[in-house]
Amino acid sequence: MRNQMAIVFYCSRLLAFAIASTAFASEAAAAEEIKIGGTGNALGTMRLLGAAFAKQNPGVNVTVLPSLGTSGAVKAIPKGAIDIGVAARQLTEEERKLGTISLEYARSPLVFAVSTRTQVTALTLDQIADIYSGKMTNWPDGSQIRPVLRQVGDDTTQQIRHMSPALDQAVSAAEQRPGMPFATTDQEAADKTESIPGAMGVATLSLINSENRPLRALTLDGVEPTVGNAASGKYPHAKRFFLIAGAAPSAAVRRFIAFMQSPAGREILIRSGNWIP
Amino acid sequence: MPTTDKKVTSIVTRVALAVALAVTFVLPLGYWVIAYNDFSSQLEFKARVKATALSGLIATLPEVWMYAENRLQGLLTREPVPLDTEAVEVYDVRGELLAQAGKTPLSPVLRRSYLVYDAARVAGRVEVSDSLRRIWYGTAIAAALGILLGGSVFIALRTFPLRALRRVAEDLSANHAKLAESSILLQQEIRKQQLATERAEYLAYYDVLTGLANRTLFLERVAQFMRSAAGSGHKLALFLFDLERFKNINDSLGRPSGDALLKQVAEWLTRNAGNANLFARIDADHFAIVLPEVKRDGDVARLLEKTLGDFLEHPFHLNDAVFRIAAKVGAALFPDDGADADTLFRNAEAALKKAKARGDRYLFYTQTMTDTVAVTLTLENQLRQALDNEEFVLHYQPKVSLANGKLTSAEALIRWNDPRTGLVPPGQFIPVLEETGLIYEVGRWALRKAIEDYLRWRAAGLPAVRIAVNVSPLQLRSSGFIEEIRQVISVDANAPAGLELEITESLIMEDVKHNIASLQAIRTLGVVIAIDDFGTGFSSLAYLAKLPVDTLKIDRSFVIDMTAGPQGLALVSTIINLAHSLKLKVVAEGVETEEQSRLLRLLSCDEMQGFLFSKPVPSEIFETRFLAPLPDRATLTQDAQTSS
Repeated sequence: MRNQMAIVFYCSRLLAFAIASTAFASEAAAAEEIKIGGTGNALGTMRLLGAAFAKQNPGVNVTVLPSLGTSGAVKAIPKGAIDIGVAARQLTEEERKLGTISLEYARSPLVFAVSTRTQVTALTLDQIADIYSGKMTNWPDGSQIRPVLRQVGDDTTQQIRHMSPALDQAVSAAEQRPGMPFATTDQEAADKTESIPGAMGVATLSLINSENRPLRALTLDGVEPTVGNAASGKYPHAKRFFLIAGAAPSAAVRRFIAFMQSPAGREILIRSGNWIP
Repeated sequence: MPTTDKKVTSIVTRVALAVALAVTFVLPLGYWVIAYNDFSSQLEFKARVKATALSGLIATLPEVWMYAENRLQGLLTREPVPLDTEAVEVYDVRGELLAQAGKTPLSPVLRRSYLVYDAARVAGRVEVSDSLRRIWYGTAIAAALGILLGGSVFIALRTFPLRALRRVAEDLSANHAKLAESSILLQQEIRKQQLATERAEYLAYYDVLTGLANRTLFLERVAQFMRSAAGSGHKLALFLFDLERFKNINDSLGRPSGDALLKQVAEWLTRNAGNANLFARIDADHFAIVLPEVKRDGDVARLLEKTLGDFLEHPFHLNDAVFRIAAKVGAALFPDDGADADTLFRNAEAALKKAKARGDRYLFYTQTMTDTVAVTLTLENQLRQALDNEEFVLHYQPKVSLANGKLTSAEALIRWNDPRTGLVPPGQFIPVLEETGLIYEVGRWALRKAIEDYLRWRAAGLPAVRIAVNVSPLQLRSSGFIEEIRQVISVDANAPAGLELEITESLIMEDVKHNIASLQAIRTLGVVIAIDDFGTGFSSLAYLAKLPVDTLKIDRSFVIDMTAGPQGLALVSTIINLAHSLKLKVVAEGVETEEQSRLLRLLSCDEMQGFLFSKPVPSEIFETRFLAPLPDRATLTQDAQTSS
């Protein structure tokens, strides 16, 4: 892991050096700020990108806010509360009318995850449904299974409901079960999946990778949730990430977007468990 | 009782109603207040809890937390506890709705809010709302229960005390009924005892067979009558009545017949005397009779005679046969024959015994009484005969003028010329005439005789004078008296001028109003009237002036007293003056001495009458002595003077 970090760090320095050499010549070195917020699953990656970008653009402060959620980002952008938003879904027509622009920049496998301490590597959808509904309460080693729930309207929850009718019902049932761990953000969900013994939560590979989480993405119905499997369609569950911004993004924002689409940016994305569609 | 019952029922009903209403209203009201407060504080607490949960988010995203809709929703929905039925809304400081969770509650809705802080800064507020329907439903149920409970309370409070009261009242009335029953029994017992006592009293005082008083009661009554008689100064007579041959009847016809006879006798006595209180059955065939008021001994004799006679004639019916029963009587008089009832009764018994022994029909206890009765009865018979045989005669006493000594008129005085004993003085037979009622006939005869003499004198050419005839009380009281006078004077037109009526002052005063009318009627016939025995009758001066009389005759007692002292003289003087002031002529009676004559003349008395001038004389002597020509008259005057 440290080797990986070292490589990222090295590469980003190279990138920053390359960009800075062209940018500094024309642009004033005035201090600029880019505030980024949105869906939790993308935030880790954004921090990596931001850090890399900031190295190349010393005059730009990139702040990645804690999770606002997709909806938060969509609301905050027109208000100018943030400069760049990350959403886990496409904008609706109404949201577009407010002048918000969006751009799908990456995808990441949607995974069921457990703590690396939990001795489980694979589950079927049916098993997962049983876990949510309470039919299956113990891991093979006998320990208690504790599924971490999200709010009803959350896009991740909506997405797993669509995985199978059984799971849809199971999630509904789980919402009625008392004593269930609950998380309001992707980060919180990851935190609880990590910290609560026997916990099982939903995450994206990008979140696990970008934030270096001690979580194991489970093989589902015999398919490992790798970027490759997902990109090939073998593993069918993925989250799409959209970058959104106001109608007139600042130069810094435009630069940041450009950085994301640059090879340095793309490398960070892929390294973080995303693939670029 | 019913009034009290209604009142108690009304009070209990009202109290029960008040308590029931209180229960009915207090229950839902109490529920509402408690539930509402509880609900309200619950909501407030929830708002606080949600606000606290939000504070964590705000601290991490101070500037953009309001956009983190998904997180807000998650917090509101599940953090730290899931929503129940309530809805939660988050507003920013400007009051703009940021997020909401939970279903919109049904109205009516209760809202409670709590401020959301970012450290010391107010960042917004959380509002929790929930439907009040549950509380309303609860209140409705409480109200229903309240009504049920209130109804039950009303029934219980009204029914049980009233039932208890009613039970007590029933017990009381049962006791009352028992008491009443006992009371009735007691009253019946008392009534029995009273009847027994009355019966005993009756038996103690009455004869069961005849219903008449017995000896005890009779003697009590006699004692009472004796007290009354002693008080008013008259006599009382007690008779014992014994049925003759009663024992024979009893023996031959049997005791029932004897009893029947006794009953008939009792009825006869009662019927003929009219007052059963005066009778008693003493024993077997003895009856007793009391005569409470005997004014004259002759009354007793006559009653006895009549009663015994009637009794003997009365047909008693026994066993379809008619019996006539004789009786014997023993009599005793109070106060002559005993001062107390027992003595009087014993003496009457003695008299009866004697009568039976001697065979007399009746006997008085004292021989003199028996004798007097006998004499009276004999006299009565003789007087009847005297009337038939014209043995009564009129003597005339002249009245003369004190002024000139001339004859003015005469007073007629009745005399009985008994062929056996000669002339009988009026004091011996007048009372008998009055008692027997013969006075009517004798009085009528006297009037006729006086008129007859007057008319004869007149016819003979003699100087006829008016003749005064005395009127007895019975005559004056008789309703036909005036008519009688009219008839007597109707024989001749001159007759009225020859008649004067002398009526005693006391008789006039007996019934003065009625008598004034009678006297006026008599005067209109032309007959003059004199008040006789004036001064003895307690005249009311007020009436004296109104009396239609012509003459006032001073009683002889005043004339006698006149010479005894100055008071007597003054009295006579006063009477004369009084009479003169009333325009009455004054005649002094019983003038026997020259002194009296002189004094009367001195006092201007008009006329005098008395032995000084002449005693009453037979009509032929009166005629020759006072009405004949003068030479004879002078002689006679002299004769009269010597004889007085």
